[in-house]
Amino acid sequence: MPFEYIWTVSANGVACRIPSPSDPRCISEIEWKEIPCSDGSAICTIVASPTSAFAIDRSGRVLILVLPTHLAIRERAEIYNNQRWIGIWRGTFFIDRPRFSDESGRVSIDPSANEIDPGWSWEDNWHPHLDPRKYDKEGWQYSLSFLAPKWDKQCRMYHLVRRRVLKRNVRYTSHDQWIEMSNEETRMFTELAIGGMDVMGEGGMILFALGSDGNIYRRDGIHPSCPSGRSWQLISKVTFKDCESDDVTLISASPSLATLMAITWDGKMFHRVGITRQNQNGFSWKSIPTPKNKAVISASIGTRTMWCITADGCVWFVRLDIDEKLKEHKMENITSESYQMTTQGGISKISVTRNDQVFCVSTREKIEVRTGIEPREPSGKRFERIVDRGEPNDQKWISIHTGSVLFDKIPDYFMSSSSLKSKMEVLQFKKADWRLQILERLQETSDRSWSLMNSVNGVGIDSPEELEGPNTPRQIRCQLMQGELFRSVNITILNNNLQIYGDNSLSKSIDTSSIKSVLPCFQRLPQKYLLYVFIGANSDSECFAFTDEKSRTTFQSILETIIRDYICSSTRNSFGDCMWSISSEGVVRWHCLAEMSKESKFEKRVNPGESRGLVVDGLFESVDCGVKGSVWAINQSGNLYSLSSNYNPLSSHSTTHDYKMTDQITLKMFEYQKHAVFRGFISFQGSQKGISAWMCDNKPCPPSPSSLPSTNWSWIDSAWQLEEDTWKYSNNIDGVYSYNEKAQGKARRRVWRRQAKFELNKSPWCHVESPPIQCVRVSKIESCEGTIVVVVLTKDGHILIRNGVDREHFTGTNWTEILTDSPISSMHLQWEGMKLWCATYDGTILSRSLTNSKSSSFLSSSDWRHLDLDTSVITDNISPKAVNDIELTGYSDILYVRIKFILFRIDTKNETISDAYPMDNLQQAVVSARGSICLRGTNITVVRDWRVVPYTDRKATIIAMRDVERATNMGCRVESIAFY
Amino acid sequence: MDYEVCRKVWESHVPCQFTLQSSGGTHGEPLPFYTMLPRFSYLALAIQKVLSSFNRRDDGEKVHSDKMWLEHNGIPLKMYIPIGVIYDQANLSENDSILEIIVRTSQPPPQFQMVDRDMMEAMFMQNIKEADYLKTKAEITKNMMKDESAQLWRSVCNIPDNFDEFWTIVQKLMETSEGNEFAHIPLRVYVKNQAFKQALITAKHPDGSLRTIGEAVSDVLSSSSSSSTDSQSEHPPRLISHGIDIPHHTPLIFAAKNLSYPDNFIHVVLLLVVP
Repeated sequence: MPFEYIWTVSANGVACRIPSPSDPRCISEIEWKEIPCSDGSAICTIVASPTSAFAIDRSGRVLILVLPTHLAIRERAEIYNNQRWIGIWRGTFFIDRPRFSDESGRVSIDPSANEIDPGWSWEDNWHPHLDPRKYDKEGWQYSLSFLAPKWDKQCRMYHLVRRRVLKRNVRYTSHDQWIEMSNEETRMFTELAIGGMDVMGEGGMILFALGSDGNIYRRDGIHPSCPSGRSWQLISKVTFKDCESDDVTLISASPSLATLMAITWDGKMFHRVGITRQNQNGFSWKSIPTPKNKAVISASIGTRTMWCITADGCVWFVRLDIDEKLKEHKMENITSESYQMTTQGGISKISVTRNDQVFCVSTREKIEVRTGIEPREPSGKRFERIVDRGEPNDQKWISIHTGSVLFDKIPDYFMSSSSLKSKMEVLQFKKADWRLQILERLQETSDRSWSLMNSVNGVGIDSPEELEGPNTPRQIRCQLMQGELFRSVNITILNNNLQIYGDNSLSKSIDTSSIKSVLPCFQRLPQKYLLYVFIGANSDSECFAFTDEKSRTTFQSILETIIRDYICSSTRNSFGDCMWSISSEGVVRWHCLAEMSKESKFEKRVNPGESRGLVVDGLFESVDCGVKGSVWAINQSGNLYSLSSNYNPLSSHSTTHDYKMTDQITLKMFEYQKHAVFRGFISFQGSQKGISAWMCDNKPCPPSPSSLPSTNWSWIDSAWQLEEDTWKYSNNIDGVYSYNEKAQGKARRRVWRRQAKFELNKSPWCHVESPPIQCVRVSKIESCEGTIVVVVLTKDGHILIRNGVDREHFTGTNWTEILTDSPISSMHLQWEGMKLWCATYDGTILSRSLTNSKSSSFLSSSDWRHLDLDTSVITDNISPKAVNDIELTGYSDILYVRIKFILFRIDTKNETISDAYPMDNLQQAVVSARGSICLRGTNITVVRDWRVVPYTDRKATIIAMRDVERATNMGCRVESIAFY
Repeated sequence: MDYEVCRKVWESHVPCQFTLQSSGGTHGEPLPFYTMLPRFSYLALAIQKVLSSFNRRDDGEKVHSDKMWLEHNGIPLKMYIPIGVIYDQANLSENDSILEIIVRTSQPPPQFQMVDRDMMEAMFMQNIKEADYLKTKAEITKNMMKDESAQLWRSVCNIPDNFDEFWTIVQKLMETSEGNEFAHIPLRVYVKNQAFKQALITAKHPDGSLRTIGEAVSDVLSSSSSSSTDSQSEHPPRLISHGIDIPHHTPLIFAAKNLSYPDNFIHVVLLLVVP
């Protein structure tokens, strides 16, 4: 669902929303959509956040429209049902707590009360909460008295009371409709302002409203599960020179920071000081000088600029400074002379976006945009009309709000109607047969031309830089790592080997057939662009260093061409058995595990440590692969991407894709200081126990490093900033650091941060819109309908399933939520039998079957079943530190649970759990399509078969590895793996 | 614009061999110079590098760019036609051979026209304006600013590096304003040994369906003076552009936007199919 809209109000009082993404190909709806109120009331003004829109109608009511979400907006109501034993279990005495109450028993609740706020509906009826560890099969807990501290799940002789928790879910169902916001005091309002999205974080916002009584109110209690908030809170009146000023006529807020402005009847401007996340009301008003001290009638703030209209119709703008630390605008820097006039007349309402683009409604009631706004030219060039895509055409408008728009330059489809048309045209032609023929022939011709050139016998050939054909003997100069140092070497690349010559007559020869894969890395201090080349078994590698990225890229592509040729000459099915890996720097590699044996002409499996692999463009944190070559990956910010089904690592160098991949990464740097006698804490040279004075990514770096790993990266913040201005102390430089009031310790450190952006414009990965994801699972067999099942776990513990994924539609069509009662910490898709297993943070393991869900937008939470085994051996191992490190995987009826470095094997058919199986440094456990479990620690171990010995006296087993394939040291530089 | 296709045609090169045949060489002929030249570029631009490589040799005389002419197979070459078109015309894609160009220092024949860099730029811009006139009645070039045309020329001089620069400007030339379409499509058809043929062709048929490139070419041929096109009725000629056979049913509008040369014309060389 696109959530970037421009909201407008037509002259007839109907709200309209205009989809405004940066790339119109990503969304399905591009037309303007009118959304009238169901009761026909006319709207006067509108504001919006990325998740909801708010409007005021002619009678002064505030309405809310909640946009459709992937995750349901739900709340849960709980009551306790209390009973006493009087021969049979029945209701309680009147001196007891009521039959239905809250947990304390003091408040009586009537379960038949059905009232809920408008827009919400009950999802189900009251039903008991079940948990086999605390309650019996019907949900009861028993005790001697209601005040007793202990509740037992089994009823014993001396238990006289019992209670159970009844729960009922309520959902917001009125998405995309205007609903009146609850209003106890039946106030009337005239204006709205919304802002502070960056300050509130996580989709939050602050909503202000101007009442018809002249007071400004803030809506309290707005929360993702309660989008319309709970009540209005009064903000103190604006005072000017110690007396209450004239009435406020207009309020406005910045979409990014928490800045609220108010304009009074006499044209003065004020801003509210002190609005923070903790204190959203602020504490006082301060006046702001107006342009040349003229009266202001309208204003709007973005992030770095503010625009306003004075009473004479002139439109002014002023730059705003931001206090980075407090994250607020420095309004005190504005003087009446700081404003610049941009245009005279013609604009009636103005709205500034978060990235300081400016839209307005002109006096002729048309929507216009300020073209040419760039960081160097914040005032832009001129106001121009945008392309009218409304239905009916040529409408007149009275209001506009652009707070949820994110682009930082106007996309061309706003100004040019043909640009959108041509983008659609390109899409339409993409699959045409003539086009594919043209592409194929172009490639063939190009290959033929190059090979023609290369067959000429080297006479008078152009210098190598301009001739980039294959098979040209190349000379490369770079450095080779030997031990701790790098030495300069010359490399000659011949057909069958690489000859390496060093200055000290060191010479090595590497057979091209032994080159398995390469891995680019970035070293900060001293700065080098590294390329690890993996040769042979045990992940032996040579490390080459280059001073610039282009030389490394050239060398990398030469080596990868060699690897690719080998793979092509020996494999048949390129997406057969394979492994995907992501390095600790986020580099993705595909490893081919099936090679054709020259002797037998059959495909045989290769040990992952000896497999050949190729780098795939992209920057991710975790990956999973499934049937039909489907590969899904998640980056650090939780964005989800699916690999294009046209992508083939073996021909990736000759095809281009044009999806865009971006990620915003916060780089952290530690500054260390050691305590020296008489001098206090000082910085130091060199390193002690592997730690230097400046460390980034656990490796030494220069102070304030300004280089980035590759040209795909660019800085967002202009400089490093302290994350917090406090030091943490420790007695060991490599030990644990903590706050220390007395500032004592042998060493101290503090954290700096700086944001960078990673952009890949010709990426084969296509972004799939979703809430932030922590884990994705792809089925390794096709479903009965021929689709590929993809399930994701969001960062806040919700489960979504992606519908409609197949080879042609590799991104699927839409999401369905699988509702759960509590946040989930890890999940496993059992593709044989289409079952989904998941584990909660306290170690409860649940499962459910995955049914066809194309019609519903969610699957009910009552279909989960608890794992009916005594899992105490697992839950005993869950310490507070391990809570975030639980992983589920499995194959068919076998379920594996990994808690930190301990593995458990649960046989769900025979109902046995193994003893704890600890493995040194175990970090990840995944399963391949053949059912082998692949364990990643320092090595990657593929276990095809276990020896399982059952205990005679209880339902437990001892396990040991029987048939194993080990790739020594392969897990060293790798953060995530997936096997097919 | 289709990025994949545009990128591929931008990056296509053809192998060329330059041989120097000076009229008064005392030390024998210098070795031939081999290079891959971009299809999108012009001989007028490429010749500089060739000459400096010849001139680097100590023996022999220096060749000056204004005292030489180029010949292939006995015919003087036109320096102002895109190299890709010259290659296609020389019918080399059939036999996969290198384009052999002889650099002669004798008196150039009358049909040969010497074109230096500045003149090439002027001719290039002239073609752009003509193409735009055909497409949009010169609307876009009228509004194009001076630095944009300079940028376009610069990117053509620097193939294959400045694709993004090229793409930014060309996109403007390929988009029309406000939902209008191209009035006519700039298309030049080359039949062997004759001057190119050009005619007013629209992108769509009167009934609104897309005109294909096969239909457009036959329209051009029939509207110009009749040449021996009898053989055409049996086997439609092969349409060669960028060294490949363009499928006959490719929509003309696609070819105009993605298979044009930098001067915004589609150059198609006809290869008659010998039955």
